[in-house]
Amino acid sequence: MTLARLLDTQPDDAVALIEDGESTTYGELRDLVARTRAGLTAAGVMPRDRVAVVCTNTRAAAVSVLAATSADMIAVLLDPNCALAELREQVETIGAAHVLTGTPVDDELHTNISSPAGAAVIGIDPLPDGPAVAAATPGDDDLAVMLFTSGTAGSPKAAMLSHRNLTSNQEAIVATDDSRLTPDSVVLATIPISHMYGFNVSLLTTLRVGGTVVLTTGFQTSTCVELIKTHGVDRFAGVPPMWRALIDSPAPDDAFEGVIRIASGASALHPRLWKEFKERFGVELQEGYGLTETSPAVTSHIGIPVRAGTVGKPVPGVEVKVVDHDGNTVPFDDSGEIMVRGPGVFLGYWENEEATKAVLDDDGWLATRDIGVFSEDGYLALVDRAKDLIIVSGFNVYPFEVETVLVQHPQVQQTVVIGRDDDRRGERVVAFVTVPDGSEPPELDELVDFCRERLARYKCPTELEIVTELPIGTSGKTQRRKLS
Amino acid sequence: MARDTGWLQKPMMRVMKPLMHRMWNLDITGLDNIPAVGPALLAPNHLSFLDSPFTMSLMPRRTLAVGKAEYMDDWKTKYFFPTTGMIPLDRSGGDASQVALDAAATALQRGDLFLIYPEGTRTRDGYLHKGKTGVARLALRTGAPIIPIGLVGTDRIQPPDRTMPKLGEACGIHIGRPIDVSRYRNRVDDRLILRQITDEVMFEIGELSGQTYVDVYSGEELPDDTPPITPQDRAAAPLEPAPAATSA
Repeated sequence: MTLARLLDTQPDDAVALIEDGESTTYGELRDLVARTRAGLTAAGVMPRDRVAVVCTNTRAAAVSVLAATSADMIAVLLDPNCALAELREQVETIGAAHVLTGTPVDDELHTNISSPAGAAVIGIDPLPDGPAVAAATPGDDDLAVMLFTSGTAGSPKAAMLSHRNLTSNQEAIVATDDSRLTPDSVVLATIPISHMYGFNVSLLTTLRVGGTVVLTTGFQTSTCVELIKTHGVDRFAGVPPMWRALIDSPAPDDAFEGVIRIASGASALHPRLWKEFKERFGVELQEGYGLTETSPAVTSHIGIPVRAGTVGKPVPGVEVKVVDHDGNTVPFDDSGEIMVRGPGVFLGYWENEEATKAVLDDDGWLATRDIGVFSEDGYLALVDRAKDLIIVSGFNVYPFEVETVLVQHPQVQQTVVIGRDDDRRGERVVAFVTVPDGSEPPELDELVDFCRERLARYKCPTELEIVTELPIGTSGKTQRRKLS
Repeated sequence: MARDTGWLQKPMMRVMKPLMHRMWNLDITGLDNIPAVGPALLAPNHLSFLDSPFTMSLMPRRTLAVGKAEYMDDWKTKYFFPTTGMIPLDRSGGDASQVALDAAATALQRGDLFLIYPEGTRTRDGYLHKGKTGVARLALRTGAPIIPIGLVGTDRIQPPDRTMPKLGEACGIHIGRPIDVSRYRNRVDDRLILRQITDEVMFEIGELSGQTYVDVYSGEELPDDTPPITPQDRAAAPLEPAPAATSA
């Protein structure tokens, strides 16, 4: 199946999208996609051209991506929250001839992207129109979409996803869904659709089953709670900073009464936060694991009992193994790098064979650079990102483990732990801490004493920085680079 | 057998201690980290054949240890070694080593000190190697604290190629703070916990001995980018432990 066929079978009058209270039925959506496809063709975009779409969570952006892929164009999803210089670099990297945008940054974008990168800007608000053009029939393995990977150092890398990559992952999610993702499902798209989860899970998988997607841009607790109530949302996904904001908000305790599934991803969910959320709202957050390069779902808690501190079990059709530095599978309960294989694993990075070879082997295994542990009964727990690993005198310190202890301290609200160069031990553990309202900032000695009761000495912070906020990216991941 | 093991140790210590101080320049620190009563696991790095006699002789009270089962095949050592505190351990694994570890657990449960090398065997390259999890298992099973010990220079007194020790040389025996494993007591069979405890012990040993740690077991090939440790490096190793490693 290709993305071009995604909207073929849903009833005309069923609601596909809701934006600002305005509904778009599947019949209207099909019509909008066809007209936009025609508009893009009339504007000179050709099949196999790369079309950059500055993707806010709007109907216009969703239609643009669906229109481009239905015309066999390659849609490149860009995050509107990126700095203009970064967007320009991304457009240059993929050599897009056209940039679609409906965001208010049009003029600046035009100046910053179109001249240096030579790309033409096409407005999508209103959507372009033109003489009718039939939908294309791309192959399953043809490149459909590209997304830039987040949180990595160095030059930007665009992950290439085929139609099969994306649709196979949708199938895997539906298959694991305990038969509960149906045309009656209403999904709140809280995660940006410029990110793989927001795009392929919240948006496309819901559309595939004929459900309704409630589009919202920018996360605000009051808006989230209101949209859930107004539209009868029964599932949504988010990232740990959202859970913290909801717990601390005046939202009523029964705000999520009708919600059957709240998925958590992007960064590790601290067990304390999981517990606080459950105590506050009576809902168990379901942590899952995925990457842009895996379209994205690798594991989920769908259809299995929730086990806090784990990301659930692999979704159908996705193979997962945990290996040591020689590539040998480690025993249960031993940590190692998580490797993923399956039809959702991407084609590689755009024009970057070196980066592709570094993560994708000849047998189709993707090296995730994430450290994990399998339990004997098949639950995967994330230990940390390999690149975040701190090595003190040759010993591994996983920041997540230290952070999990630090957030239990009453004078710590949020924390991020990083490594800094150290003359004697190679690296040392540095904790960045935000303090709850009304609390005194903790002293380093207090935190070390607290940690020593729970951690080995080499894992305890030797440096403390009190900050007012931690740098969190648009995908919900902590931007550790900004702290180092 | 375990009941009689080490019965000769105490009288031997009375003779050996002053002799050792006359023959070598011994720098001993952290002796007050050894509990006056109750069990404890003594966990040193392993450089030389002399490590066991030195460590056991210098402890303030009876200390038992495991040794190669082959010693029990030789009539010269079969009767003598157990009297000095050695419990035979079959290093080929299986039930025999389990028997020795059971005997060790029995000794700890009785309140003795017990010496065990987490690396399993002497280092040949000078690096501190990844620890085996037996010490953590014993600690969790018995509740005994683990006392890391950093030995420095025993390989200068008796390098692997010498049959007799060199007199007049200096060595350091640095006893670290006890590591209490009681916070893990409900997770006795958790392999991650065993590894965590073992790594914690190895880190403290490294702080005390000044050795560089490598995350491979002794006898395994070192990672390609590991710089070799020369005999000159080993000869120049400082005898003092890292600051704060031994103080309470």
